[in-house]
Amino acid sequence: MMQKTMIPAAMLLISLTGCMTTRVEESKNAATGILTNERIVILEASYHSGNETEDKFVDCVSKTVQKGNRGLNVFPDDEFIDAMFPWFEPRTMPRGPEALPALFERPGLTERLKASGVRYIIWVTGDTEKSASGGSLSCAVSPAGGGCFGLAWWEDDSSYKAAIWDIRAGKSAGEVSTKVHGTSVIPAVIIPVPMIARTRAAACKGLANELRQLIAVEGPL
Amino acid sequence: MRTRWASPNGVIILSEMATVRILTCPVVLAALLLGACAKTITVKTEFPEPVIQPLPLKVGVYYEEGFSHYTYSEDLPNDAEWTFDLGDANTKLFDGIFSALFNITLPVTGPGGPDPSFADLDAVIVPAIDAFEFSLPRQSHSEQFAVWIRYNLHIYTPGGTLITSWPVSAYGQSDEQNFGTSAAMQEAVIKAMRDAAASIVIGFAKEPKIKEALLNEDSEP
Repeated sequence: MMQKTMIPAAMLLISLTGCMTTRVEESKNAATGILTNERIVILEASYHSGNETEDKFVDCVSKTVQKGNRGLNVFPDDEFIDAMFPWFEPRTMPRGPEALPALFERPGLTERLKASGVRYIIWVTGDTEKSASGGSLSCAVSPAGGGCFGLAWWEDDSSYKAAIWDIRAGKSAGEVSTKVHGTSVIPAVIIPVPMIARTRAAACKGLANELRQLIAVEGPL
Repeated sequence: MRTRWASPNGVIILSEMATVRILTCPVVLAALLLGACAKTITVKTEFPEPVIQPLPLKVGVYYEEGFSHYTYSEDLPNDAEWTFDLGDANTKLFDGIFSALFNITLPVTGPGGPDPSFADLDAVIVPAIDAFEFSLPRQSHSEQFAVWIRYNLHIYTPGGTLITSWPVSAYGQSDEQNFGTSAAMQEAVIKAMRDAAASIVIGFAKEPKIKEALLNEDSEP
């Protein structure tokens, strides 16, 4: 009985999602793989270099990449940054994987890195922007009732990259990127029916799946 | 005076209760309006201990009243009056910086002088805030609260002669979406303070006049 009522509700939800196109790309530079006691940490690249990645997006990728039977162990980003203070602050974070060996030779940092179990650092760049919008939608309320009429639409572009640095090898293991373009529409004849394209959520899922694939599944180059 | 009425369903209503309700409404409204006109950010946080090799120096630290009780207020047109209280956070941050940066750190009662208590010190440091600025998302047309702080480290000989004043500019930003307005602004302040700490911890021994006067190194690279 419950299943019967949930199926139309789910279909309605699917039909109320806006249109999206997703492109995911991967480039691999070195053999990967991760042991069960090893972890990854996902950090947003510095805003000092103009990066505007949302904290929410990094949180989403961190949660999503842990899911599934090949889920990765993630070390909390805030804890990692605090443990390494001040070497991973936006102003001081390493600019390339070649800086890692020298950095982790510093007294104190080696021990903290070992304790964290972090093998890969994932640097996320990119953001979500509204690229276009149009239409018109107006609503009115009177003592006799209220309603809306018209159509409003907008387009969102979510574009993110994740660079994977292998700390043990001291070099880049690869890069994955995702671009999602979505159009959201709200038509209204008395009742507005929003059809929202959640491009950021789609980009998060795409990036997380690809990261999991590249690090945990693919193994050798 | 307390009057009683009997309602048709037999429930007795006290006029005193009605009076209280009428009085409460303006009080609540006034409180809400005042809340909308003033925002106070009292920075409360713990800063992580910097991971660094201490310099072989014995340094006295003097916090002036304006630093240990630093507040900044600005009344923004068409917005609230914002007040920032950084006092406690300032002393916590700099206590942590100096105890990690130097072999021995002592609180002193002034910027050096003939008093014998200064005699065995290598230097006295008096930190100050020269400037504080902030911006709201609507001002920067972004989703970010942003904070700029310019600290200044006045470094004295134990005898009280100024060696150098080292200005340290710091910046922090925080997503509007992740927190409420006040929490996002507080996060931006904390990030700016951590940025200052990173610059001081990593840059202190590289500052030419400090190198020359305290570390007996040539200021030329």
